[in-house]
Amino acid sequence: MCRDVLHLSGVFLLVTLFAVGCTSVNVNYVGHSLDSTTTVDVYNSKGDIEKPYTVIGHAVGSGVLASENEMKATLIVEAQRRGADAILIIGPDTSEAVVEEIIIQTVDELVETVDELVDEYTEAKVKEWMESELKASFLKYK
Amino acid sequence: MYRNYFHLSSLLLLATLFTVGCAMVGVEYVGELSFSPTTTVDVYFSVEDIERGYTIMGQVLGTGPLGSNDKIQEKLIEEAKRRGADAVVITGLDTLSGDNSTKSQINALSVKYK
Repeated sequence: MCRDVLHLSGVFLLVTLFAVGCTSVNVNYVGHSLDSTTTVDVYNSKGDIEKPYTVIGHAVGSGVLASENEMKATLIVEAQRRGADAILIIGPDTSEAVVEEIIIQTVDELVETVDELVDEYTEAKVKEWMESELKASFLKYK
Repeated sequence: MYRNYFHLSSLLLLATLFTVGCAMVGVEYVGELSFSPTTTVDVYFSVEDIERGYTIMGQVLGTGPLGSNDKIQEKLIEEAKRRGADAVVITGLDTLSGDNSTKSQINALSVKYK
């Protein structure tokens, strides 16, 4: 019993440390850098943009265990820095494997899953497994 | 003593060459090959921003280490000029996670004005 509790604590500690250490979102950007802006409109569909615009660049936000909102917020900050007036979200790219594997029904399954991960994957593989990304185009109004 | 310095210098040289070698930017082109090289190309980030008639003559894919997008873009432009393009349209970007490194991949179209 004590051994199970200890084991479970270890698993939670591992997951927490991993989450705390890895939730930063990295942005990969290609495009123009203009004078920074203070506000950025966010669109999820090209059809919603009512003003004429030019695409000034493309960005990919990616992070381990990062939520879509965290990635979106980081992309907005990057867009302001690059001088964009708006961003067009292209879509999240989270592999089905991540969604499937993260649905864990019981504590035993959690312990088993983490044990398997530790045994079978390197840290890089785990990161790859848990990494998700969000793509966006940066826009400048005409 | 001197022998150790020599050994260390060789190791540093080897490590530097290895790093430079790994930081290579590569470009691949698929498309029309019959045009004469051009000296300048316009750069767009969406085909919708091209305000004149054009045809797409090929696709260019540039890959390099994360943080080398300026260098990759430069290489894409060089390749487009070599293939006789009038413009390059950068259509997308990918971040590729590998076992030992993360790479950046830029997708582009080479365009010929009508």
